Amino acid sequence: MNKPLIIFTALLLATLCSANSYALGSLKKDTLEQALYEQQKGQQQDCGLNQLNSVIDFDSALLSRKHGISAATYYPVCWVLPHNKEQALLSYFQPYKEIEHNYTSYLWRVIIVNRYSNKVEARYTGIINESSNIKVHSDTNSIVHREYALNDNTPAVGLILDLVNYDNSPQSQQHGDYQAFKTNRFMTLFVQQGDKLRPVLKHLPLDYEIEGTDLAGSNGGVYLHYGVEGEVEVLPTTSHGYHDLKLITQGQQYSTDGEYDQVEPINFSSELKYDGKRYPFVTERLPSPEFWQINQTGVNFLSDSDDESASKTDPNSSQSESQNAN
Amino acid sequence: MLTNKPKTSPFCCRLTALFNSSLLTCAILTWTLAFSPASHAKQACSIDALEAMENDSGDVRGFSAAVCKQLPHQEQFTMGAYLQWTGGSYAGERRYTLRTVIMDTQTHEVIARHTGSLYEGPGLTIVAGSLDNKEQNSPAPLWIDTANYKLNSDTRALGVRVQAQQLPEGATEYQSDYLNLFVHQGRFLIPVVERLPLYYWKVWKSEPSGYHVARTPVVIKSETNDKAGLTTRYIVESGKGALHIEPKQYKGFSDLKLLTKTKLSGALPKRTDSSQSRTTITHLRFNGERYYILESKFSDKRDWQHSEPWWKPR
Repeated sequence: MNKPLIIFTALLLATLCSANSYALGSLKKDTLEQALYEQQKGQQQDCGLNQLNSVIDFDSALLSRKHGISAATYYPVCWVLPHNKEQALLSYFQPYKEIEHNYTSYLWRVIIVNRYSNKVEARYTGIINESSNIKVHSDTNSIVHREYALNDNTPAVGLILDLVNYDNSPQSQQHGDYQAFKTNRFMTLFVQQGDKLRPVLKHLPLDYEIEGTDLAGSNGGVYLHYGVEGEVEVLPTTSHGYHDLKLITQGQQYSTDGEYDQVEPINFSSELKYDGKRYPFVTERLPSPEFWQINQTGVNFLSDSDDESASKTDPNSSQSESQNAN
Repeated sequence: MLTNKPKTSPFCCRLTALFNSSLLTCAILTWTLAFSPASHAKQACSIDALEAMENDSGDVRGFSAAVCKQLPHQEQFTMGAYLQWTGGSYAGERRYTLRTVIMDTQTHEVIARHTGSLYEGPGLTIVAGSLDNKEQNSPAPLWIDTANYKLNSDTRALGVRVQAQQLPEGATEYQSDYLNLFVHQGRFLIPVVERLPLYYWKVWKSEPSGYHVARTPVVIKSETNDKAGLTTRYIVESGKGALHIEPKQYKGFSDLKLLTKTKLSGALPKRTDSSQSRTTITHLRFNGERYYILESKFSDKRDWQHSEPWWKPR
């Protein structure tokens, strides 16, 4: 009789260990690990628990009447709030319009409901457009299982949108190099203000990748790849009543000229301060301005420095070479 | 009477309210004098307006800058404009979408929009939003211009100005304060003037600039003493422009007159007479779709705005 219990415990431990190793930042998931993680994530976000599916159906029916759209819902996620178990955070996608080139735009609905009355207590509706670069998929929507205490009275909840966002436009190939920039996980923090959910931090990119090849280099091209992943931490300092946040990003810098490879760990951080309405940030300066100074002739390449901050060249020097004569 | 403080302008304009042309001159001249980066108030968007524009864009990429202003002559409408970074990594190589919208002031529903693009270059970089204390004094990159650009009796054009910054090195010419004028028609915002620079700065190196360098004894003495400057003589010219409405109309809209007041400065100020300045006049005419430059009769190289290729090099 103990056997099933032992097997169950073993499976549970295996699940927890797999989930834990994923959380430690391992990018390479093997199939089993991935399956176990997906299962656990699915269970934690399953809206079937606590009969929250019916709340989503009712809410999407309201939106369908308001906007004249179908009541189809996608990617629902739910989470009982730890600081107030009477409330649950729900989110889902609802197709909104067809936009140019047959892409779809979606309503992204985020609501806080009372679990006993099933009433919606606070709501937010955003619009997410698909495009050739931006795509929605089955893992697009997820809730961060953590509350961010922006002050003693204000717990913020976080959602992450996982979308593809890839810049490989021809202009990036203008100067004889090819640079592609990708960022695909965007975090939003919501605060309940009356009957509204306000995104105080909106679509902060968490992952950053730049890859490029310098075709003009003397060795025929150096390939560089910067990839970092980020997390948001709450700092003890405050601005305008909310704690400051810190985006901590860590990752790797990889360069090769076909003969020599170089891999180095890199990290960046940025502080975000509340301005009374939002935590403003400028995407093209994240995760930090240094990240963007990708050296077109091979950063750190066979150099003595072991610190990425010493390897930056002055971007202005390449500007003066390429300025247009007028 | 006309000062640098924007507050005095309504007073001045009320006095001359009976005379449309005076009102216009008053508005435009006050605007010209008042508009310097340090003196204009912030055109911050309310959170509801910001969310409405974000949803209208539908893009997860945020705004690098956003401004909103309720229209003074049509208070049911609020104009918004924002920059959205679309690509390019270095400062000086970035590309942006510049979107201008008209929103219902109460509901913030976006009624009309125009999507344009803005590319940085060696003389043009966008400094997006002041996020840390170091940059609090830099001008906001966008500014909504609701001066009375009355193109005909029914049409008052709306302006969006783009403030650019120059890359610190390399360029010998620099333009900024780009003016875009739109006409609101129903669900459309139609651009009639796009990216007209109202401020420029130029270094005249070996080309004849037409300026007279006064060779006073003081100047000659300073030249002799200055080892670096003997072979490199150059003058820096900067100009500030303002747009005026002309009475004559063509294809439904009034002609525009761009008056640019220039002044000189130089690396060796003693060599140039700093009181030299001139005013250039450029005429713009509507062709049914856009305003274009009427070629000036005098092909004078000093008139930097004398041709279309200057304005629209791309």
